[in-house]
Amino acid sequence: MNKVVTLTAAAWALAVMGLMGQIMPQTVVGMEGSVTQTTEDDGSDFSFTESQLDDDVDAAQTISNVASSNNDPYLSQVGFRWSAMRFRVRALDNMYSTTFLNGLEFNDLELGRYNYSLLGGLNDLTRQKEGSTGFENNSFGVTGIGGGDNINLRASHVSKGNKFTLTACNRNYKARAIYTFGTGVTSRGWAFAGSFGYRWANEGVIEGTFYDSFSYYLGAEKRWDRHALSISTFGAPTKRAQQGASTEEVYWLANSHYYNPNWGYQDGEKRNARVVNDYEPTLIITWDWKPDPKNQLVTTAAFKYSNYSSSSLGWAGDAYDPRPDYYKNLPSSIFNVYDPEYLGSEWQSSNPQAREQWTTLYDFWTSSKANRQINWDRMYLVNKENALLGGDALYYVERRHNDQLVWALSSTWTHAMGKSQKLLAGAYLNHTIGLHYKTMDDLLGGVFFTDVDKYAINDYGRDAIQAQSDMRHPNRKIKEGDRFGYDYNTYVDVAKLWAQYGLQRGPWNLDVSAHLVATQMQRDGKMQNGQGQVQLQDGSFHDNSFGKSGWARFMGGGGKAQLAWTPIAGQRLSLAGSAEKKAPLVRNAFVAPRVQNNYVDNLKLETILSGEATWLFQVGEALVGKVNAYYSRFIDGVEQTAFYNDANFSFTYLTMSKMRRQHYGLEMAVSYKILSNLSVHAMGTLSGAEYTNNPYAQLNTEGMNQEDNAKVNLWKNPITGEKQDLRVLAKGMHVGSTPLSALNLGLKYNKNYWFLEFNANYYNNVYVGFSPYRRLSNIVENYVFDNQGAYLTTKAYATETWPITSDEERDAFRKKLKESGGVVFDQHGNIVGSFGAEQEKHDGGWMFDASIGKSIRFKNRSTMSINLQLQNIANNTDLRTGGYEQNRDDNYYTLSSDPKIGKQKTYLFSKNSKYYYANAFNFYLNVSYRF
Amino acid sequence: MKQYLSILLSGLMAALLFSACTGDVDDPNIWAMSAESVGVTAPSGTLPLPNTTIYALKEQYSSYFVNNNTWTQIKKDVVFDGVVCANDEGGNLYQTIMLRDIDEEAGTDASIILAIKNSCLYPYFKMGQRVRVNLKGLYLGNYSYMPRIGQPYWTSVITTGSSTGNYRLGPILFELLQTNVELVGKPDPTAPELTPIDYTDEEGERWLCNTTHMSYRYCPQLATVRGYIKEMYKAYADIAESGQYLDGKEPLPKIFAPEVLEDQGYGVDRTLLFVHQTGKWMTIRTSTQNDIAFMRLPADTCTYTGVMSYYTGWQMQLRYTSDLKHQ
Repeated sequence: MNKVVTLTAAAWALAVMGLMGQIMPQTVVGMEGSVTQTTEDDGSDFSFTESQLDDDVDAAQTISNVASSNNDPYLSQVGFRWSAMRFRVRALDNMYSTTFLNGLEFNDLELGRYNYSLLGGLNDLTRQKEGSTGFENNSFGVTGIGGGDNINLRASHVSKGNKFTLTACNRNYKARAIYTFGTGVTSRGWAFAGSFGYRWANEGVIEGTFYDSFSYYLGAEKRWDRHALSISTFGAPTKRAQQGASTEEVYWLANSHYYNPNWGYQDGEKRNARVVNDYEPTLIITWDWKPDPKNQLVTTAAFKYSNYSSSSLGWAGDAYDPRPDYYKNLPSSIFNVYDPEYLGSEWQSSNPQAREQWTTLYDFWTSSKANRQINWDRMYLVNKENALLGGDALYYVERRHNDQLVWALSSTWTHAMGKSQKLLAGAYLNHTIGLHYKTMDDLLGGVFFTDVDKYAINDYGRDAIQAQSDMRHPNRKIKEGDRFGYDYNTYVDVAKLWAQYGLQRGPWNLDVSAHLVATQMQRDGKMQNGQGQVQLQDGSFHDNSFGKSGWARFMGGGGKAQLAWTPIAGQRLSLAGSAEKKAPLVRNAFVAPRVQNNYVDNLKLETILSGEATWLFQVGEALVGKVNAYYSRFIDGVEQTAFYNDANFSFTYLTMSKMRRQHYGLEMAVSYKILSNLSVHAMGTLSGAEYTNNPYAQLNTEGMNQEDNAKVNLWKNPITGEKQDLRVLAKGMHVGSTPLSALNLGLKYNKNYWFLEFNANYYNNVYVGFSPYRRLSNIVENYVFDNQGAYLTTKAYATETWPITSDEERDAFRKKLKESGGVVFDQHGNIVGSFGAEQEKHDGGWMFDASIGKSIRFKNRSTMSINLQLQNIANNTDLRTGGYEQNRDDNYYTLSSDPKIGKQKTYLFSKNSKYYYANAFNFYLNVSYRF
Repeated sequence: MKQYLSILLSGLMAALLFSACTGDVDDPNIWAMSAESVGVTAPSGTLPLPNTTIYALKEQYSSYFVNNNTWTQIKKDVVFDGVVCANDEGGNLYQTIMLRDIDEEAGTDASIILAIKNSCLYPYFKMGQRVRVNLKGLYLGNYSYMPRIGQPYWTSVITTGSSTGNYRLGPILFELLQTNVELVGKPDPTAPELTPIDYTDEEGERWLCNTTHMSYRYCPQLATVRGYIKEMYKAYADIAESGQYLDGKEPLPKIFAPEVLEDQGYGVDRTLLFVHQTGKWMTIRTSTQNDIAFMRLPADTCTYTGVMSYYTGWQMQLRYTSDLKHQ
């Protein structure tokens, strides 16, 4: 019987792997589409520590899953030690890791990621988990190449007794209380458990933020015969205010790297414009059946209703941009402060007015805190005055909702074949509906708001269809609470079959797994947006916004294998490899999801090839370590960036397709016990993660008609005049907002239930997130090399030459290409070189952390543990964790102006990326009492 | 156990009560708000009393209005009052309010532009609002012969060309309103300054055709003129013009300012032929990207009210769509 099962499983795995080469996306490119967008200021990720797990980080600080493989000396520690720098293992996005709850995969189908705020504040529950790397077999399912965790939420797995925890800290929140109880399994086979938490900060460590989160978990389980049925429900209704990134100039003016542009005074009180409301009530039912000692079936069903919304300032008409750090408010908008000529005494003395205006703005910024924050009162006044004139609210707070309904089901069968073989097989189904819309949160003293696209009105006139958010209700006057702007649903269905097989023979250990995934997605527009109307040749319009799109269908899957050799106890060498075809995410699938149904071009399965070699070693009881080398290649990825583009004053989507990336590196961890209670440890990684081609680009701007959208996508060959495929010059760009190199040195000491740990961490190779927009082939300069050796710029002046007659001029040209990027053509119109603009790398730096703890056991057998973590003891406030380039180039064009005449803005966006800094010195005091 | 539970529940209740308040801010009393109270303009009574008028100011500094694109910085307290008679509410005027002062005793009527770096001035500077300006530290001069108060700046630089841009009298920083500008009283919709000067009759057209009147003294003016648009005259109505900077022709039916025809100043000029002075004309200049820009060009004789200035000839910018009236 075992042999039959083995052969069947192996054949199925091989068949699936073989099938990968034949899989074609069954993309029915219908006429419709949609999803949640991560805007550019929500860009960076970071990993978590236990104490940060419940920070409910912003989208800007999305937690990256660290597969906490319990036996891996590197992965088991990396999250704890490097989370302060938002370190991501192997620079991978969280979507390449997988999190399971009771064996049910819980990654969000729209974003691809698991949302840690789901269990925010329920730390006592999340400790019960099994982790695995991306290649090893586990007991719950197939993970992504970033590995995965399975969190056990069954009531019987919550420790018996009561536990009360109090926390004080100076992070996103300042106080936390958690109470958890578990009955254990009673004699009648029942188990009950509960956990309640509350996290709070009237003002977090970042000025203008607050935190308000209640969390709960209730679980019950009944065991009988060989069955167990458990039911769990949990959620964490949270309201929190966000921090925003800003430029170095602004940090300098505010004299702090922790300046937050998101708040301002309203009638003397602090008010934040970016407030997140998040509540994802979830119900999980699990049936465990163990018919015999060799077989086990775990079936889990879940329902989740996710309510997520975030607020943001909006402004209409010609209202002035209310963001305090809007570039026109900054001193550097007066003259080019980055050009030595402008800073020279000659220019300064002949342009005293420039210095005068610069000083006026400098004084304004530095004279009062209120001056550098949002001026809420001013917005109320403007709205009042405009209302008296019978007009719209010119300023408002909108709330962008990304709700979700999820039904998911999985079943995992485990079959043990003797002591040396194990087979798992499973099925997984998920039906997700994403509900995306925005509502009017606050009219700020205004009376109504007309639901039109103000930019389309400016471009095409008030009567143009592009101006209408919903042509079925044109020029609708909306009030607070009403939906406006956009409203659409997405539907994503996934069906997965998987199997894994483990074999142990002497010193050899083989893990093989395979999976097959069918995915389909669709958009359903609830508004008939004017921009989604496609004009046909006869002048009539075809609606491409309201109603359902066609389905896009993909058949993906993959397989992986790991062969390990343990020649002697304590020495283990392993080789692993995987190949996978992964369906694109619905969030990247539509050209402008908020307004229309069109799918992006080149929407296809992403191919992921990955491999690693690992040496795990243990010498006696004293020395334990790991060395690992890995390489991963990503082919045909699709990635969409959505941002407000104030070059054309509208919300813009930029999709890169046929994108290639590679991630590679070395990882090392070693721990050595000097004494029985004193050990030293070291951990490090040296890695790379970069784009290896210039992906195809597709732009779509809300409020723009077809003709103008075609113009912004146009890239002509300067010699032949032929239209070329628009590209992003991304080759050589690094994955940003995570250290690619990190080193940890530390020591641990314990005595009489006292625990001490000290860590020194060095981080380097952190890159700013690059802007694909600034590197579009029709945005960067295009040059032509003629046979006289001269370069002609084709964008600014068709006739202007850039003669290169000396080494100095050649060097200057190369420097310009390196800094600003460009495409160089030969005289026949062939591309001879493409260069992406230089990507900024942040300075490396040290951070020192320490923790001290004490466990106390009382006579009544109750225990208390006290732990104090001190992070960034040296108060290094100059460590950039990441950031992003602004999606804007330094030149100013309009669609109607001569495209050859680009005017350089005084304010240089290329010099003004926005940054996040690691927290200054902070502490985390945790006291828990178990009874 | 009960004791623990009661403590827990009490704590939770307290937490929920706390949480209801976190982050919430009461609405301010908007009726007590003013440009002064929100820190836009100077507190009432802080500026010195007026020591000149717009008319006297223009006479005193006339040389800076006669020579194109010249200006001077005022280094002492020079204070005057004016009434807002044009602003950016209609979107056709950008970063601009026009102040006018009629002194019936002296028999003077003069206007000047106050240029301010902000895209939405009209909620602060409503029509009929009296405004006090202290020129100390500000610059007085002209931009293409238009008398204005502003601050000099360099225009944008051509990307890789050798040009360093042009040096012009641009708008003052919005932040300077706090120190140099004060609102006096409430807007008065009956203020005489809101009545345009009428040039619609034959005598008015003759005045306009007299080139000696193209002087800083009469520039800018809130004026009404009458005529018909040349681009809509008979067969012209169906002849689409080509843009200076963009390939292609303007769409039909014609509107005031299609983007395809815009010049480097982001505006479109249309020719208004006078009714009585045959062959004589002036320009109706309209910025792109506002409601006036998308108005259909009228084929009939109409009156036009707006900010009138001169460069090589008279030109007018309408303030609102309602400034165009069919006769």
